[in-house]
Amino acid sequence: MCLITKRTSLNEQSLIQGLQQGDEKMFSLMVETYQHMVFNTVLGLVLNYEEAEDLAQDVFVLVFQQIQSFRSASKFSTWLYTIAVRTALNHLRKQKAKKRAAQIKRFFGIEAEQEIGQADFYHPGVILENKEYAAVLFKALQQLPENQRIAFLLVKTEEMRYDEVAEILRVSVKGVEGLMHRAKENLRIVLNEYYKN
Amino acid sequence: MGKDITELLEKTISSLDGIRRAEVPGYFLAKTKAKLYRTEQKEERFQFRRPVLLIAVLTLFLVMNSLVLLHLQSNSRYTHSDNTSSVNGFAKEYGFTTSDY
Repeated sequence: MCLITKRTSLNEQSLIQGLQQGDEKMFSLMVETYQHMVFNTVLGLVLNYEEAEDLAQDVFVLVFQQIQSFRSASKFSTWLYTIAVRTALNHLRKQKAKKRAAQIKRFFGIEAEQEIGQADFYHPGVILENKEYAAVLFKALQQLPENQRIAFLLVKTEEMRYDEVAEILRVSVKGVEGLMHRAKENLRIVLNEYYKN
Repeated sequence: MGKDITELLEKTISSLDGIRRAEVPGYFLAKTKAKLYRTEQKEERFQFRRPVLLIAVLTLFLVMNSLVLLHLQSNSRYTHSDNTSSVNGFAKEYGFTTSDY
């Protein structure tokens, strides 16, 4: 982990330059370096392996296409996280819209795709004794507002610092503190209801 | 009971502590490169939909139209004077002048 970070920071500038010149070898290097980070960020939000894989690929293609607009003011990894989060959220919004359209169709008696409830998501990186709790937590997280969910997931699963999350969400560090506090409060309310029933 | 549920809540909220990253599915790089290649090909096919190209084609079309119009106008001016002189000549030859009526 430490090795990867060191290698990344060393080569970041040449990587960006290579990508800006359309070098496909640099594209491969970028995917190899950041694939775990992007895949896991997207996975935490969409809770589905196939969709996360597809979306993570989209993220890298998008980054390659939009690399000219990257300004070195922020870290490359922060920019990558921002794109990954945005891609996952767009996907979730589209899914929600599809579900709403299907509900309307069913209301008018038009045949629509049968809605399948979200299956429990078991993250393979969670330690065995926490598997069931984590599955409940992932479900509860779905009921939180977007920014609270993202802040919580980035801090917990990617072990990001508050200032890094602040840059991705374009809020202040105090703002992230507030988001984390509210996320935990809301989770307590949702989980309380869940365990009571 | 109250203590139990509080413990349960805290255990659930902290269940992601120490989480490790999930493995990326196999052949991820190859699949991503294939997707990039497909996207690039699609873009090449639909290059004409790019606004810059559309504007360029439209401008060229307008310039060519203007040139043709200008060319036709200048030609028609010559043709008009030629026509007038030949009609006058014809009228003179056959004695069809306005003064005759």
